[in-house]
Amino acid sequence: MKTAFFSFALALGLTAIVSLTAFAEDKHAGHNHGKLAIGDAAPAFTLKDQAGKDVSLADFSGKIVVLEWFNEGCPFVVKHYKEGHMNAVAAKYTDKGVVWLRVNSTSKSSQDSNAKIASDWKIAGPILLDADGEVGQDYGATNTPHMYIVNKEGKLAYRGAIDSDSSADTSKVAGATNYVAKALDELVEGKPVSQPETKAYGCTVKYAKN
Amino acid sequence: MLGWSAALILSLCFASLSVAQHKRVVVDVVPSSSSLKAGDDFQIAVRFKIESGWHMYWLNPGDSGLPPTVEWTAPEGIKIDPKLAFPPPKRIAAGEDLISYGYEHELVVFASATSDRQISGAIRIDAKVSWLVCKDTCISEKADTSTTIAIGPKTAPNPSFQAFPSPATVQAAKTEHGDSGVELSNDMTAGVISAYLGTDDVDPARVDLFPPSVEYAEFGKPTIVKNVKGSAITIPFRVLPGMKEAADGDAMLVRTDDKGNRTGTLIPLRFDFVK
Repeated sequence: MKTAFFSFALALGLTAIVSLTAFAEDKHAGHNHGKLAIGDAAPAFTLKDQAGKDVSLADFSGKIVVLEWFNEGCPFVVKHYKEGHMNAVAAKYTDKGVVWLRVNSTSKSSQDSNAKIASDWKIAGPILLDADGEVGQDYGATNTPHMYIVNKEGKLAYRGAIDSDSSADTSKVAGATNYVAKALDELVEGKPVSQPETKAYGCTVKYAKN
Repeated sequence: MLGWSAALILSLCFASLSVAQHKRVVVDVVPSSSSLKAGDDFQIAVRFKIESGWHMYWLNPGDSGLPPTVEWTAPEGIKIDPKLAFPPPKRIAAGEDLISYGYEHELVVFASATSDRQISGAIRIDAKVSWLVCKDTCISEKADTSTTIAIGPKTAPNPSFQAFPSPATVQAAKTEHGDSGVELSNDMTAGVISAYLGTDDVDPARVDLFPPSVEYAEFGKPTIVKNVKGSAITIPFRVLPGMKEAADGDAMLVRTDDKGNRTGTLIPLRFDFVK
């Protein structure tokens, strides 16, 4: 079986190389990941927070910035807010000087709905309105929650899931590995991020239809 | 004002716990035998009737979603394999450029079970079932259900079970697909999975390949490739760094016949990107 596979693989070799190259260069290979790589400059943006104030990535030059793609209607996001887990992680690191921004690219979201959920869920920081989905698309955000960390040099240092448990079960949060916390601990100490990329889970971002 | 918000949040958070709330899915379990001879194997079907417009997910949900799970409780002498067998999924658009793999209208999954020669009387099997069902939004739902099988001198097939598409069509004929597999680039940053289709001409509209869920691999879209050995359906993938131990996953090759019937065959694959 192994020999059969290898001889077929060899015969397939040329075609595989062609399709591999094609995939690497195909910027529409599903996720925009072909566009934005770890180590690239994080795309600039200016969005309004729930109080209507303009917030730009450039405001935080020299700081570590966390971007959390958010949608209060998604059970996987509720999982992290129901018992205050996400707020606790955000508070721990904002106390260390990290900036934590939620981005809502849900087409039906509004400044008012962001203000309401911030109040209801006791969210301390900005929730940025990206209802037209432009910033979400720039970052290639596909899920909620989808986490990005921008380092002090303005480069993308982490992209992916909030943690290692991809269920919608709140009781699993405590036992999961929080990839963002792990990466932030490393960045705060000036170390490189040991796991810069994981697969995001959750609902798809509800982008506005073209 | 505060009262309204509180009520809204409570209903959002506890939608899955409220039994009185309208569910999008009705679940029941159907055993393969109405009467079982002690010592024989049997199967249990879990049937999900999904409200129109909503969908559920395959083992690999794709870009978003979560497959259903079943927690079984069975008496002494009955062993139920926790691995569920799924039918061929469909591609469900989940937004711009995003695809999920799932099911609409009805999903029937199967569990295999064994029984000891010592059992007698009647056996009651309980199932705690949880699932995610989505339309534009997603809802986590759960249900507790059970079934009872009488133990008798012979194993008698259950007519209700026989009406389901045979689970055999979704099981792997593991030796048939020796020419299918995983191919990695030299630097282990990308690869291709392939399922061999044979030497006959292939109608691309009648063949599909669904990748398994692999934590460190991000799959692209399938294409059909041809060479001297025949054709294969392949899917490229990008490797995410950090794998600590090799992972196994089954891809599903799905073929559609002239009548539109879809049959699935599992292709077992091993992914090893450990550096």
